[in-house]
Amino acid sequence: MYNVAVRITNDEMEAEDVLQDSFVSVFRNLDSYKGTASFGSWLKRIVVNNAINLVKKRKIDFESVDDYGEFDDRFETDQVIENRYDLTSVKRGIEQLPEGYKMVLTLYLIEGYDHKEIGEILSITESTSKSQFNRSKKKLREILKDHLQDAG
Amino acid sequence: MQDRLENFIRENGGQFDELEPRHSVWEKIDVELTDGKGNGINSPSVWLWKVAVVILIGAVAFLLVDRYTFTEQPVAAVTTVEEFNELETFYTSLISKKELRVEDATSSDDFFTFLATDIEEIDAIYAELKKTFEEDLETPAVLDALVHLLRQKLHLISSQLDVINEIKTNENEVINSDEGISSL
Repeated sequence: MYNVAVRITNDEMEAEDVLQDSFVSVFRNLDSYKGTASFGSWLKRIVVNNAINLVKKRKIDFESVDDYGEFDDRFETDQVIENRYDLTSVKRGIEQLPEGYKMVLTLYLIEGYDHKEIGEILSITESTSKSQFNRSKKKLREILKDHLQDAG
Repeated sequence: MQDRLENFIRENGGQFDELEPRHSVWEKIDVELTDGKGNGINSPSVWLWKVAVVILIGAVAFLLVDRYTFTEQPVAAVTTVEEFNELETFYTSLISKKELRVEDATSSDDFFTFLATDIEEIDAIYAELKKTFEEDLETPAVLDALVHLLRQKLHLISSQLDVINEIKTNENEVINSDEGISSL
């Protein structure tokens, strides 16, 4: 849960606050757990929501996300780069993504939410989540390509 | 369409969880929860947990029977294990602190024999279920059952702590009342 909060807030101290608030909130509201999702999923969603709320207070511009139309990245892949991924560079690349991109990409690929759920979490439409995700992948590929070129 | 970048991140999802919060975070959570600001754990009913344990034993039996038919994706299992480790650390920390408070409060008395027995019973079920979880059934359903056991144990100790405090409060009131009478 802590890592989820760090990925969203991009700040370890803020993530600790999120973790603390979430666990305390969960304990004080155990009665509201309906059992429709697993306890872990319920807890994780509370952590995600609290982390998102904290990020929103920084006035991150989620609205700009809505400006993007559908994006098709089928012809954007670079086969040379595709064959040379390594975990360290991908992690570093994700950290360098703009906040909105990073949030959608990590919620989808690492936390396992679908675009409909991401739409609910971020208060954006499902199609916006999809297009934002595709653009975040494109941006990540560009960053990784730069890393590889820098490394020679 | 095959997307190697997407697949790479999905397949290595567990590797992205490498950070741990400072220990002080758990202590702060414990302090907040023991402040008693209206949480639902300190419910006055001592018997509720017993009903819950009976239900849980039934659930565990079902899960053990179901274990040979239940399959789970490896990637999901890794996530469940990590989730379990975090939750177990959290609850164990809370339980240990409450147990210390019970020990302190009862160091000179001997009216908790049944509590120790009941805790042993929960621990035995927990140990068996945890073994199953770690060996070949790392599923969210078993994780929930394990967390439920930890919560029941915490609830049991909290309830007993409430009873101790109530008894001690009553004893003090009686003593004060007696002192008041003798001073007349």
